Amino acid sequence: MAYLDNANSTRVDDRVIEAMLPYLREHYGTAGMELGHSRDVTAMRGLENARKILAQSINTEPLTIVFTSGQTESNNLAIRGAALANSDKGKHVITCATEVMSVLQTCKALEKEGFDVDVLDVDQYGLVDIAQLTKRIRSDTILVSIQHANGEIGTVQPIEEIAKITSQRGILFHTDATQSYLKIPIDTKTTPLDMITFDAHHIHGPKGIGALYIRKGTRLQRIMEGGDEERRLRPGVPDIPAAVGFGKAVEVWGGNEPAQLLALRKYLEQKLAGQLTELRSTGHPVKRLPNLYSMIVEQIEGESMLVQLDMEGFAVSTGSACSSKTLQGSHVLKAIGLPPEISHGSVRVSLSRFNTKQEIDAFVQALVPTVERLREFSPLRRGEYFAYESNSEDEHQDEKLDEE
Amino acid sequence: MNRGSSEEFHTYTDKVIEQFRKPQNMGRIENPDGVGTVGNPVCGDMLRLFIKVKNGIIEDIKVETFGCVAAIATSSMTTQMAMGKTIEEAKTITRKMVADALDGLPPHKMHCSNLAAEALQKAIEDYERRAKGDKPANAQEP
Repeated sequence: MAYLDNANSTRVDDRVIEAMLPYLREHYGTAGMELGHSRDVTAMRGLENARKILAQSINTEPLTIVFTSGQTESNNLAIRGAALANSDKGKHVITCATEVMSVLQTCKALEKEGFDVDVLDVDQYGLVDIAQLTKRIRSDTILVSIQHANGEIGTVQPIEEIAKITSQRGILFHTDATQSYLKIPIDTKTTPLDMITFDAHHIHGPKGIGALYIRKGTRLQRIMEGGDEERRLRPGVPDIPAAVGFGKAVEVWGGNEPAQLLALRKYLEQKLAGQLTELRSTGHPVKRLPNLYSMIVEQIEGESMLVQLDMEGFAVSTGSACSSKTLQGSHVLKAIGLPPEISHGSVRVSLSRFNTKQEIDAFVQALVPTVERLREFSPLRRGEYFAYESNSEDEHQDEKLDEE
Repeated sequence: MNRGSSEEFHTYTDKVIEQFRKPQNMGRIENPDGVGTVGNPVCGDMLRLFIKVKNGIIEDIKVETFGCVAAIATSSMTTQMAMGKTIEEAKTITRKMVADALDGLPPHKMHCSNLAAEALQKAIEDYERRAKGDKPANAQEP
């Protein structure tokens, strides 16, 4: 079984599990704010050590790190928290079309609450246009939220440039670095970022734990009521074992890992080249996550490819509408201008430290006949995108609405 | 983005997976007696079904399918259900019968990915039209 879906989630590293176990078995104190008994103190030390490790990884102080339950909560807290806390200055928020749902839906919810949201388009590679961003900034713009790297196509946004623009104008800048964290360095001392979302399970840590970096002096309002834990911004007892695991995952991340991932991805690209025709890669050719390769295999549909590959022991992803229960295709592939009949053939391969060249060889060996088999009986293989003569599309539409 | 090994796929029955792995009667028939095209690549499923008819009996049937696992499995099943049947018998084949023959389909796949019975009915209509001496229904037919 070759797991090639690491942009989705990663295998928890054994060293992480080992580091977590004592905090489940013995140090089950709550790391409260008050001075407590020794179990609490040990738990608190574990939590604070993890915070320190995270802080060091982006060159900041531990005080700027708040633990959350993951990417979704961090994005909610950053966007909603900043919007609410700064609404006296203005009610305009800018984001972009390829963000994850926890960003887009939070912005949508804010719109209903009287905020104005501009969703920037991206180009064919998934990049936001800095000129367009600058043009959209208004006197009442309070927040810009643009992801560091996209999880579907891997495109890396120019966050340094954006941060320069926003910081000059006194606008808060939040970036979701879930996919890029540790793969692409972030230095909070040289890049004026105000908030950064992190998540543990994309870097071989456990699920259910994430963090939000909040630059000192950033006005943020908490979005959940409760106690004073996590700088009074995130009430509730933090998941200490998971936080310890998060810290360990960061600690064991190797400095040469991005280079190794890139080498492995290039190996995959080379292996694929020439093996299959009518195959195109999506995302930016250079400004891309080192571990992600996303492609379109024309004339066939992604779910079929996935199931076939799954049966042969390879886990990958697709943006095809057919593989989602809501029958909605990927909003990212749509945003980069791919028509649905093309995006149906999307396949994403995302690598981790646990993947090997042998796995890549085996994957390509399985993919080629899979594609050939499905193409053999595809009515589109001769480029015949002919008109349909069925009323079934109406039913299909009804179905979609029912699902929503 | 959707996962490769998600539990969703396990909602397919063994019969669906079996048909998907080894679909029958896939491809096209040269000089068919009837052709039925349904679906739309924009929706994700698109298929074209060919029949050869002799003495009122479907003596050969083939289908080309672009689509998900369910679309390929229902295509294959439909051709097997129609092969060797009289035109009148084949006319009674419905989507529901195809789904039942596969021990069911996931609810969200019931309509959009179960179009082969409709393609069969269209191919039969096309055959009957041609038998009457009208032009073939599909101008782009090979």
